[in-house]
Amino acid sequence: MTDRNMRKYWTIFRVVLENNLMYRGHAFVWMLFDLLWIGVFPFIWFFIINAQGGEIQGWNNSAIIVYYVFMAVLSNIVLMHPEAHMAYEIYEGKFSNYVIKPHSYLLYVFLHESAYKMVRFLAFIPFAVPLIWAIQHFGGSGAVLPQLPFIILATLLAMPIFFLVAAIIGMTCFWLEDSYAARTIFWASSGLFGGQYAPFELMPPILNTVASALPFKYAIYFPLRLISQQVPRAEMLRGLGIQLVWIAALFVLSSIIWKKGLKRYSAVGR
Amino acid sequence: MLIIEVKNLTKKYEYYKKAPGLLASVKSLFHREKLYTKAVDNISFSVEEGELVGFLGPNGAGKTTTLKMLSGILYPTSGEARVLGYTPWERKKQYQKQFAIVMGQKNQLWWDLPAMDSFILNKEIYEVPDAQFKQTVDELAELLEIKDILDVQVRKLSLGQRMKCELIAALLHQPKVLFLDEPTIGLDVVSQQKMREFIKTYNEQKKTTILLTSHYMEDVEALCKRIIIIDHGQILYDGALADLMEKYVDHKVLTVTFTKAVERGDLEKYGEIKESAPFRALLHIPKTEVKKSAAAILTKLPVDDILIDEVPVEEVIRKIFTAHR
Repeated sequence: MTDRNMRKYWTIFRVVLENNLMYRGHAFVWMLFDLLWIGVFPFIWFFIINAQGGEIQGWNNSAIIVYYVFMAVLSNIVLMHPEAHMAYEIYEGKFSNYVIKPHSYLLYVFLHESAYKMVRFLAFIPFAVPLIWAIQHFGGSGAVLPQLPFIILATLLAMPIFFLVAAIIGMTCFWLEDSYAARTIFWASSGLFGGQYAPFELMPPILNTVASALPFKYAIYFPLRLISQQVPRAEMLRGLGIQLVWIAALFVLSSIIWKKGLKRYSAVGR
Repeated sequence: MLIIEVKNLTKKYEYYKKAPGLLASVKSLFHREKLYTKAVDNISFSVEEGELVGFLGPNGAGKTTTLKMLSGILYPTSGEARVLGYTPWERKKQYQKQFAIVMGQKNQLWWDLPAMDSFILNKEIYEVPDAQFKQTVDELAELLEIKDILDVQVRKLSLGQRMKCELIAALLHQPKVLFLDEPTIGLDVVSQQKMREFIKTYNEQKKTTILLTSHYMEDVEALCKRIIIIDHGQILYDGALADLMEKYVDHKVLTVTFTKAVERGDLEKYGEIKESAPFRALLHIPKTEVKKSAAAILTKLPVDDILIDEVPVEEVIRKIFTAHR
């Protein structure tokens, strides 16, 4: 990217960040909503795991708390939701403002969501201290420290996977105009097949089988598993490889849908 | 030099028919009749460098759809268009840097931020050098008299102030082609006048090619030497505004006020009576007869005042649309 382009996209990020700071209350409320995962699910699993002798399928209390705490981190910082914003802009015709300008719309949307995540992250910081304490209290995750580089890499690769799937869902608005149903299916299936409700080892095996054929598992469950449990190196490498394949496939798919969608765009409301 | 060339451009929209009522809504879950409408139907025209052309038509005539195709927002169903040598819907960055579109009903400014933030954003997007940016903002803000509101949140501005800011945002990169879609809509008469003066001055100074749509005939009369009239997606007239009047108007309007009551029968021989009251009358008189009839009225009737006017452009255009339908 040239210096000029860097400046261009940095300014977009800065202006969107300014705009998001105007609506910091919105970001704060959604951050709290994502914390609910930690407030409910771990305690249900503590009860079940303790009743089963302290471990089920390799998952103990310590791993479970780390899993859900990092789920909140992932939701607040990594997993972007451009679909609603894109759908709104296409539906309202505001999208026209972007297609006439010499910049990449998808990159703009990415920066838009990044700026929003930054505000969410700032709101999340005060909650990090009690969450770190909770991890320490329940035994911590020191055992996974040697796989830290893989955890960071898997988390970074999770970002484009989830972003591209969400962007494709947003693009359905080119055809559906009101893509609310598509978005709801996406939210439900990303939760279920991404492992947001529980690790796959604690769920019916059929879910894992279906999830393995979908990208959500590699955007949510895979990085969470790496941070919660010790994982054999071969499995980590295989997971990272699958993440890269998903990124490439989703990139190609989103490019095709984008080109076809632009031809369908009817600029209604403008 | 031709800047805009449009050949046989057509845009068809598809839509679904649904009868009103709950039963029809249930039926539409299983079967919907798909229909097509031609928003733009095989139009061709060209625009020379520096021209300011008025694009006129009633609601749904196809004006905005044409502008959207020329700015690359929409793909056409068929036909060709070249603007500055580029096919608009290919969305080449080099083309995007050379044109701008301003839509009176919608905005590109960031609603919750001061207009200056949107300007800075556009500066970077269009890669405008710092010095040019500063000079353009200063010059345009001065011309539009909005220097003091550039740091105010856009949502707190009046519609007129917002439109002026929209114009600055669109002109920062000094586009060679400018599409203005209803730039004066909703503005009060003073703001409309200011906007018109600005567009005229800008066109004259910068030689920017401008395609303007408007419902206000004052805009067209003040700004455009040439007009394109469009209805049901088809061009009905393309030519000089003066020629339009020559072609479609065969009479002038005489408004006469009298010092004493005048009978309707005393006026009939001079022309077609459009309005008649004892002390006032409005007549349509053939252009060739105007001088003779006005002289006769002045000598034979108790005239207090007499006015000879051209037929309003609005009326001529209404006549064309009515004939077309």
